[in-house]
Amino acid sequence: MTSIDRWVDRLSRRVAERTSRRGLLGRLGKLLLGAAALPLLPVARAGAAFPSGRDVPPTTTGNPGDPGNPRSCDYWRYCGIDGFLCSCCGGSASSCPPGAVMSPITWIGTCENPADRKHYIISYNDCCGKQGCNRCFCNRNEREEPEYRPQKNNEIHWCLGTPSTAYTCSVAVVVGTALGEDGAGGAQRNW
Amino acid sequence: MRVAATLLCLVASAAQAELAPETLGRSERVARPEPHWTFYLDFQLANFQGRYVLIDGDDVEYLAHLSAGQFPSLAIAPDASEVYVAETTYAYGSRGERHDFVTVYDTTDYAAQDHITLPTGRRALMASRQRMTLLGDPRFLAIYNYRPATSVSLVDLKSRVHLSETPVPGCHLLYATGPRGVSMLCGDGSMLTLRFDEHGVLAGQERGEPFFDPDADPIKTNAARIGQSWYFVSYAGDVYPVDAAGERPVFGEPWALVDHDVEEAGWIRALLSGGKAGPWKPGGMQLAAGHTGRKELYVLMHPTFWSGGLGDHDFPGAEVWVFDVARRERLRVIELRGVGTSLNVSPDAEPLLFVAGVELDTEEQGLEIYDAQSGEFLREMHEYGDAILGFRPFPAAAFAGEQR
Repeated sequence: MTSIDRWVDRLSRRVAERTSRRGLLGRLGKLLLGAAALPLLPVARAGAAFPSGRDVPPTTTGNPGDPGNPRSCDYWRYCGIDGFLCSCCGGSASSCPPGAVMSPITWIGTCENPADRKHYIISYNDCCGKQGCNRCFCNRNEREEPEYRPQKNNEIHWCLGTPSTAYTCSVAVVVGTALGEDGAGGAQRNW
Repeated sequence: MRVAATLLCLVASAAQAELAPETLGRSERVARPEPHWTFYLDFQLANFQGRYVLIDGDDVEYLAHLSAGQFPSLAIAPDASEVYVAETTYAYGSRGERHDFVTVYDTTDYAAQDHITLPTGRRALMASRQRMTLLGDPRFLAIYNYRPATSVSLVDLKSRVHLSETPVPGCHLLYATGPRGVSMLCGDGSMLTLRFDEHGVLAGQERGEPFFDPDADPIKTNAARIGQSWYFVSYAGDVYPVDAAGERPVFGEPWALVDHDVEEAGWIRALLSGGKAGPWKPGGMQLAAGHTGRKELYVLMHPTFWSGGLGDHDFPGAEVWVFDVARRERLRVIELRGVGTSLNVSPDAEPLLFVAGVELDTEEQGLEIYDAQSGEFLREMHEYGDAILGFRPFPAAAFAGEQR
């Protein structure tokens, strides 16, 4: 056995030990093949009875250039979202539910559109002023940064500049195309 | 035989005294806190308000809870006599006039004793527990403001007034430093430290050099406090110790959590994460906690072959890795029953490990309690509320001199 073979052997044993005990092999296999399946895992909701939106009827944008189901956490624009999807709450991926007010201040992320493989700048605005919608909770953190980089952070409650800070739900508004993954054409982020 | 038993039963019940009338309007009081007690923040999703629930970890007995408004923060007096909750409410539920204030609770009856008004609309509304802290001198309470300009409010708990608001442009959150100071994390990877005098007047402020590179490997803001030091964990799994005993923070050499997996790290690291991270990474909300007496750091860890490595800095942990921070060595691994998003450790010599977890097979969520030394799962609580955002046991100082 070469040292690489031994590593592979050790890793597979560890994976096998862990997964068989937890009955996770199928899910793990899917993850190994496609890491993007993350938000579908129940682990995203650990310690919290977060509503997953799995029973919410799907919808589409009707635009082939904007593919996917905006009521699903794996919709491409939601790569950095953290909250209830307004599209499940009487609003849409880019508009608030009736009577809620969109916060003018927010954070900006970039997501890749699978239709044209371009990175788009996404404004993650919160809709505010009513109680939480409590449907379709979605938390994805691609290229998200800690609170000391607030313009790149989704932990902050972004109902700022609105009459009330009561949080209703979140939207993901396309504001333009980005030069690179970080939205500025600079270094790529791998977190 | 059956008739005889029935007769006996009737005689016995006739012999019992009638129940005496009970006193109306009685409320329980709570005994002096014990080391295995913890508060946890139950975050109610429908209104984004919180409650702090106090439980006894030895039998998951529900002791008390505090109503806490939007995005609350909690601080506990070192002698455990009082608890302070910063909260935000609106006159008409989700609308109307906004009120920001600190509620003072006595720890015998957990009824609100006092309210200290804060300047309207400043308090940062976010999940981080680092938004409020008592200073080393527990007469003063510091509160982080974000609107989105940042500032620090100082409250005098003795006179029960808001003293001042200091602008801190570009710097965020609060880490108690020295006798009467707070340090904050700034966007360039440095810390700003504010120092107050014995009257709570700002005595000086100092911005240091960057001690980490937020572009290469950001540190998580939920730091563990062990003794007089803060321990920050980075996205990729490095530990940044910050000695906060003196007037200004002293930055120690960073060290790696994943050293023990170095034998597996080589090509697997490259294969799975593009050379950016080892096969296991820290993740979660309250992902790190410390035990001062044992000099131990507890970190929620997950394998990147589960999480995919991208955007997984809040990914729940499958294991809790326990490190000796003096020797910078991993002491043991606690395998969780499922996965956990937040953890904390009780401050005593026989510590409990509290975990907000979910079992993967049943998808059942629970507040799980483990023996922090043996790693043995002890007990759990299912009906904890909506979502556990973190744990806060009473401080070690409250039990100094006590033997458990």
